[in-house]
Amino acid sequence: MARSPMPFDEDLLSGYLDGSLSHRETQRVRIQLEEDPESRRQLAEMSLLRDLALATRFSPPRDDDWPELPQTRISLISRSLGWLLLSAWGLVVSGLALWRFLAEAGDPLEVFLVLGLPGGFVLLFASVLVDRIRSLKHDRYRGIQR
Amino acid sequence: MTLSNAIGTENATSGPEADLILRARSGDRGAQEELARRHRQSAYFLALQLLGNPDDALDVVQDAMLRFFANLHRFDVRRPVRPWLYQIVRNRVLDLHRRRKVRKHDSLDASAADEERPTLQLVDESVDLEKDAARSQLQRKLWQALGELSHNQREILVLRDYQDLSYSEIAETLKIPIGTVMSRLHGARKKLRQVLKEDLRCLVH
Repeated sequence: MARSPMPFDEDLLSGYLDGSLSHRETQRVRIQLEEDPESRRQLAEMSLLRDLALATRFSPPRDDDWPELPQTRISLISRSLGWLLLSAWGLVVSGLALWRFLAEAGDPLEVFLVLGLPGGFVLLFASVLVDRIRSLKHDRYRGIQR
Repeated sequence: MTLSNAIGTENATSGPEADLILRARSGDRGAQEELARRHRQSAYFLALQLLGNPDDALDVVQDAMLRFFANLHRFDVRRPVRPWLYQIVRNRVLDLHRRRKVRKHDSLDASAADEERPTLQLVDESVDLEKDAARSQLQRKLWQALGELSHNQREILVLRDYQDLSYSEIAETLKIPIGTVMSRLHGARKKLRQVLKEDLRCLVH
């Protein structure tokens, strides 16, 4: 068979593999495959890689990993306002109680005895909470049931 | 270059799905949930294949699904859903790449089978055990080799060979001409063959 005068465009091999060529281009590739063992090898290798890729199965996330659907605007606003109100209430009440106590307590030892224990617990809890939140995203074992 | 796949109505949103989208748009929770169930898994797999890391993929797909629903009113129901959703996923992946260096591609060595949530499950269909083992090994290496491709190469290879999108769907997702799809895809396949040439030599005679 006579050699084709035009240089062969290798990209056509991918188009041929994917069935995306025109009739004329398909004929051009067939001639090339008949003539050139390297092109045949290239096509066989690409075909194998595509088969392997298509046969690859990936594990889906667990059901509880999927996010909830976005809420409606009204429920989002009311939820945000609710949290804001609760947080503000908590801060005002605890601040007021602390201020009243400090204003009325005369003895520093009394202040230390009353506030030392809960203050220590609050600080320890806060440090654990911060570390936990920061590591949560990368924790491989978070889903294990104990 | 003339290609047989022309951008058009191929895989356009079918009647029932268009109806589902319209109902989801109007705030029907059932329709929104059904729409999410239909598409979130393939969106997750795309993100996973582009990023190589299940946690990053889940973050990306959660964000993408939120944007999908937030922008549903702008979606043309005559168009197919998949390329549009994939475009959103792809943009989120690019954002993640920009924001930080993505954690290295997941290791897929033998110990991966013991992980709580393995990324990859190999499918054995033939009965030739020796050849099966070689193919399984090559499948793992192929997944690892994706990490050696440039972002553009990996992206186009994932869309075609893992997601099985047509050239026209890829062109629509990436906003590039179909001719560019073929040349870029061939470049990616060539690079993969180069990376895996020793293994391919054993399997292709």
